Amino acid sequence: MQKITKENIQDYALKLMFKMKDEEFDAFEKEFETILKHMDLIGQIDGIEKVEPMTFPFKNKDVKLRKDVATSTLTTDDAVKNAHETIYDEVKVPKVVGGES
Amino acid sequence: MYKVTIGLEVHCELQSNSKVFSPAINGYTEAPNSHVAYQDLGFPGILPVANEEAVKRALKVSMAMNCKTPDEIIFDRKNYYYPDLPKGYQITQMTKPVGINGYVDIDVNGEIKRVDIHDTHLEEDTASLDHYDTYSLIDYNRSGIPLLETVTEPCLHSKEEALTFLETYRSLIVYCGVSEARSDKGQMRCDVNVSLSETDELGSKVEIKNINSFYNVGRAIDFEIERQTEILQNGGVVEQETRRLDDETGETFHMRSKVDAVDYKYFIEPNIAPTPVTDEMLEEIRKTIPMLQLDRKRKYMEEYGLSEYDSDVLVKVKENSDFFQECVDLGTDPKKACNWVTGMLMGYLNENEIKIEEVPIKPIMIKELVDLVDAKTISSKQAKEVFECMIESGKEPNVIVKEKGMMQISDDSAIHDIVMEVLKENDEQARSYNPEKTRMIDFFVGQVMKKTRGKANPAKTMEMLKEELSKYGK
Amino acid sequence: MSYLDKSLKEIHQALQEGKVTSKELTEEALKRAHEYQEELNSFVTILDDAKEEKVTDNVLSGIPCAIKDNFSTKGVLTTASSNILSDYVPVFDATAVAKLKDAGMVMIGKTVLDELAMGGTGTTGHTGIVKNPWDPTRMIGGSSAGSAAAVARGIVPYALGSDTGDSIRKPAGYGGVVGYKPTYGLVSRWGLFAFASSLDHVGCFAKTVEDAAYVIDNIKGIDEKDMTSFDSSNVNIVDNLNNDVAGKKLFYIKEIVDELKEDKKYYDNFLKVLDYAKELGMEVKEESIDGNILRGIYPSYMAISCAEATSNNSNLTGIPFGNRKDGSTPDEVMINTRTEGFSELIRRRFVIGSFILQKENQEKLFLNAQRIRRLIVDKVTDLFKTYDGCIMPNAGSIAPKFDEEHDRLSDKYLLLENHLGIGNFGGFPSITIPSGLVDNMPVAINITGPIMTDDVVFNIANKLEEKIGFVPLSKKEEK
Repeated sequence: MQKITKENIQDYALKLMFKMKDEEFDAFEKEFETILKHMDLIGQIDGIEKVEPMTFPFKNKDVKLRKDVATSTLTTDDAVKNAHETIYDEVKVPKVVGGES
Repeated sequence: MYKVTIGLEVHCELQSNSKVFSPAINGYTEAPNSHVAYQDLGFPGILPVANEEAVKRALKVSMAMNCKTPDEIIFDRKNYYYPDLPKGYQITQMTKPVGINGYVDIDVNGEIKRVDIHDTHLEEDTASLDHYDTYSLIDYNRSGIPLLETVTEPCLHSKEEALTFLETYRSLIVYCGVSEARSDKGQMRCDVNVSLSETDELGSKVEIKNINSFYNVGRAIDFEIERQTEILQNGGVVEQETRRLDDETGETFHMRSKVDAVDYKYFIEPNIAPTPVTDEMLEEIRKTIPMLQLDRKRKYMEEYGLSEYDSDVLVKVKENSDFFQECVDLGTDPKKACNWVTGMLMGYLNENEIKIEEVPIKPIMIKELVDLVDAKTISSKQAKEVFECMIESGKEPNVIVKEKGMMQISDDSAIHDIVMEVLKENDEQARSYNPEKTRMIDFFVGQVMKKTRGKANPAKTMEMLKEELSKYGK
Repeated sequence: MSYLDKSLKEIHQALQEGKVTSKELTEEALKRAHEYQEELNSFVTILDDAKEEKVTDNVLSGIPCAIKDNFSTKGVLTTASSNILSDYVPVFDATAVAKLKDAGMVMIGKTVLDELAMGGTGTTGHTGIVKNPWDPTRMIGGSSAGSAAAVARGIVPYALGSDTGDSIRKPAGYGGVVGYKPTYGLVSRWGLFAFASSLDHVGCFAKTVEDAAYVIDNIKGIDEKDMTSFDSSNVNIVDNLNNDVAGKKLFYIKEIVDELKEDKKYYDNFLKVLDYAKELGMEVKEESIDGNILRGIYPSYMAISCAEATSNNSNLTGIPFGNRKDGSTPDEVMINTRTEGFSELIRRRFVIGSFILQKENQEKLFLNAQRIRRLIVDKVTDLFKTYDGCIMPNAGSIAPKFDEEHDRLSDKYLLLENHLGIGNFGGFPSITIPSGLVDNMPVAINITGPIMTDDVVFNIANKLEEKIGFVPLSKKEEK
């Protein structure tokens, strides 16, 4: 597991698209150490590695995939109403250069 | 020379009425942000609901590629930040893709090569960005359109193999009827991994992301082979990195290094409760998978004895191949059916730039037409005339032949009646018949033709006249 | 006594008989909302233009209520008590809100929560801390702080809340009101701003078990917009409230209750409730669960909830919506928006969540947390084969003072203050009802039952409530 340092915390923060102030690190370290201590204890529970991780609280027998029918009623106006700035019904952002997609 | 190893990741938009996790329309529109639902903008409180048809179509392709299907449908989140990704994560499949460990056979210059499929998974497309001088605009219409991503093993060893795989894959998608798979409409996009090595061990993997056409895939591979060869020849080390292709120059350029690789922090999407994949469901889907291009080609050549050229022409478009197959299934001789389909029919379609679905012709008509010629009811020259009328009007060949009065009288008793009639009317000449005098028989043939307005089968008429005359009055 | 302080059934009757009007009730609720806003700070938004609704056969028709500000409400500001959404006006209604609208409710305000529902103190909302009406020097708890305070103060007869770890039930206990978290999927989560999707539940606050039952009966139901919702047409809560509970079997978890023993006042209160249960003919037994697993609830909850929350809140970038800050690149826009938009605590949780999900940490942190979740759920589910419910003290103490801090490594904290999370881990129906007063502050017990037995859990709680005879603050002061 990775070590927690000021540098990598700031790095994680930036990857989550925000900055953390220096004075915030102490509180972070304290909170995080507590959790890590607990998680260490969990790791020591006998046979824990054999347990299947649980995402869903229980099996939902009523689950159904959605029928392929287009029913959205969202209008263009409502879609972009909350955007800070729009041009021709599109959401404006500073110029995107390079990147992911 | 270095050993080239190529792996492909192919994204293809799937056709459906609605998007993969939202009920917005999945279809093209000029109006920005008009085919959107709350989910597609990532509003707080939205939940994804998986589209049954998109799942089934993905499973269909998976099975057509001989993949192992999962016991249940679940999705995962791929977390990253980008302006075209409104939720801050893409819903995709990692834990249980719709297909794993499959294969697709490709025909590289007559040699069959098996391309191993690592996995194929269903996911959602991102929004699209329009770039201007100082700003970009986001249109969420594309956000949430179903995408199928198929990942091959790094098992391709030349540009030709890679491109052949892509063409075969595209035809598989089209044959399965799940997408038009047109790269000119942005429906198909590719990531290409290229590595060079002197040994059997793989070299550093260089990924070229988001290539928009097969042509450009070829260019990227050419450029990378050249670039990496040069580095290796100069004793250098190829950096493991992600690159992009400059469409203008055909050169690739650095995007990010391995050390900057994004950790997508995948985890199972908790809002999409697992749906079991039942045997019945798979069986139902399996029934809809058609025989694929390469298999059809093999069948045409081996079973029907068609030429490779004709077989290729027939399987190029699935609908044409389906049409041909139905003709054969109706009992038409495959070679004759092939001649009609690849000749007159496809000639007509190409000339008019239309598809087979757009003309009112049915396989049964080809069968009738071939039968008419076989029975000598019409001549092959007449058959062409009938075909032209048939493809324009949709009328059955029998009807056309009747309407046009083309039918030859081949019925023995009908011809016999007329022959006897003519002999009686020309009793004197008949009695004085002399087989040596050929002009005499021509006279009688002419009389029969006159009576039938030329429709009596000439060979039969001649035969019958000779026989009847020889015993006439005796 | 104002009609507003009566039970929903009584108010409904008065409305039908014309003794009071929806307009009068609405005005009275709005007046109280303003009157207590300075003291309690329950509301982010008070809807002064709230209109009366037509009275129908539905018990909720024409009656005012409050909605936690993390439910999407069409045309009404919804902030999740975070600066990053301080200007967000949703264009659609949450399913629970839509169902209440169909029932004819009058929404008079949106209530304060811990920022993005990530907290248990009611002190981290962007509009300030929420205080406990019983004693304003104490917290009401969170994250559904405003809803709890508003119902406890009698501003509205009921309010919607959401519960991810104990966010309805904890503050309900501190405020002397009933708090209910249904079976996962009984009520649709469509439109509830996601905190941790696999743990989030929509529920409610009310002054009585019966009132809560009316609310849940109205908002439950399978929803095609929520794949985790299920068909509950065979679950009728109100109809089964007064069934005989004799013969029902309850258990409590020894390791957790043992932590209460050192404080006699609390322990006695709990024992008294157990006596009531027995008087009602129910069996109560002690059961043991491995302490190591129980001590894993809090850290697993933190790990799972922070991880899911980091992802769920990645949509808050200021781009298609939200309080966008300027920047010269899209990255800068996102960074400035999120740096200024989230409080320090939230950012901390996101970093923790992200760390937990990192490829190299996932196995040891995230997956182990999910494994503990399964161990606990399997164990409790197994016990539910024998028992109809688990009865427990709701918390280890009365509502804490604002400056009190828990020792998060102590067993008392780990066990007694975090066991309600079991209900979220397994999606079990879980109700908290007041069980009396300690030092003039309310204390409470919790009953958690097998999935999809919401009606049984309500039934047991209703019977116990009768025995306990707790008088809510709003009624208490009338006397």
